[in-house]
Amino acid sequence: MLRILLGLLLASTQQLLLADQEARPRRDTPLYTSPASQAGNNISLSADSAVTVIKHKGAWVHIKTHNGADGWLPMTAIRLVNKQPAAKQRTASDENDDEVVSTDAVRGIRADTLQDAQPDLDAVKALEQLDVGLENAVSFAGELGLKSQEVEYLALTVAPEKQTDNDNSNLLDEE
Amino acid sequence: MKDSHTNFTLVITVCTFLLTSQAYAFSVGGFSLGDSDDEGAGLDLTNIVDAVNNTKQAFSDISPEEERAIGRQSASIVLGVTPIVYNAALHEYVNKVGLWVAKHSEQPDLSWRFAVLDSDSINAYATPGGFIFITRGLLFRLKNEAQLAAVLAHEIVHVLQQHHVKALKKNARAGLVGNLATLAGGPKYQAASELMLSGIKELYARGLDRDDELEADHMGVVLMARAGYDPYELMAVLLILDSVNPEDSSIEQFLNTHPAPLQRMEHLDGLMRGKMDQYATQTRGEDRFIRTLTRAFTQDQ
Repeated sequence: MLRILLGLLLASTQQLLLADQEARPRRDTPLYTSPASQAGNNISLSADSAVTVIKHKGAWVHIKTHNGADGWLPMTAIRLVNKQPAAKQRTASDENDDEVVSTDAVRGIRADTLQDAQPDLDAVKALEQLDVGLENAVSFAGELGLKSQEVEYLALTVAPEKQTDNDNSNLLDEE
Repeated sequence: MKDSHTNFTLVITVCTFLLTSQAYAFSVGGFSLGDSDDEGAGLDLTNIVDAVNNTKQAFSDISPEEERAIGRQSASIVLGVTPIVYNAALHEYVNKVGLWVAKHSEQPDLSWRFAVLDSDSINAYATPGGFIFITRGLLFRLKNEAQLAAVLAHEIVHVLQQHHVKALKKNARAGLVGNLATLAGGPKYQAASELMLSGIKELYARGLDRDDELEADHMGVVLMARAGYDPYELMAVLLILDSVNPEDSSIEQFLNTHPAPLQRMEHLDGLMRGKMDQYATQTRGEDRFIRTLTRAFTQDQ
């Protein structure tokens, strides 16, 4: 199990950052000169052209094209290319494949595993006993330089179900 | 780090004493729990029956004790399907991050508990009363501490907004309470408990309403910002999840129970634009996250 976990972790850390990841625009899109929709643009990228992520800031991703040009795209305008090893996919033979150890734990919380679940109240009690303490959490946050901020919740002016896919500007709270 | 690890070992030691004193077998690293005695290990039947009966009343009528009782039942089902990754260092880390985020919520003093589920499935769960779970499958997809905080903040909002309690009550109004009324004269505690358990199972299989998920996102990013993290890392999490092949069995249930990652990103983008830019340069915490995970799973002997 340890080797499996480490293998998964290493596979994961190879994609440590969004940086250097390959991506594709979801649609034809202008390439902005800075992370702002008011920024100028003089390049158009076609959907599915290969780009590489340099970094991300706010809701924007700084990318470079294979021609060496760079610029910014909204995070919602790109799709990352998943280069992780192909994970196990559902196949018709899964149910009867003795080679595959498919425990409930691996399959996770689903209708079928829930149906058969026996409540484990002992595990809940054990979890309740393990209190790391808020004061420890506060000092741990301090070690990373995390500072508390006063931030108001974002108010909706339009119900979420009324939003459209491409234009969320009407959701901005103007109060 | 060494000191905090030592402190946590002390906590474990104390817990070991407490647990063994209640006739539990317990060992660090294995957390092997023996058979419990019946005393105290049974269901919180009185609270559960009260909670079920209270479905006739307004949401605000539910007491924190009732909410916790429902939460313990929900957590017992989650843990009945998938055990926790019993690693002291990992548990300490996830709880410190989670508690710090929860401190910036409206319920800082709830008995919040955070745990990593030993499952390849990509998902996270909350229960009423403050139990929060993230799967190992999701944890390993994340790139930094702010992204972990994002997942935990989203789940914390489900608790704050009583999304599960409201959904259970909504379902109860649609049939559960009516069925209960026909059980008069029967073993009502057992019947009520079984009804509650089946209601909880149905809810976790089906997931919450779309609007609840979107609310957990846009309130979650505010908790992140309050806690000093870059709130846009929730969008980064969604971008990562968007890149997982939807045919991959590990993300099947997540996609079945949540709005599409792109929809959630667009929802956040619309709400955050012009409001959260000033927090975009806050902490992401890449080094500490990777260091902690690597150490935790290297020590998982």
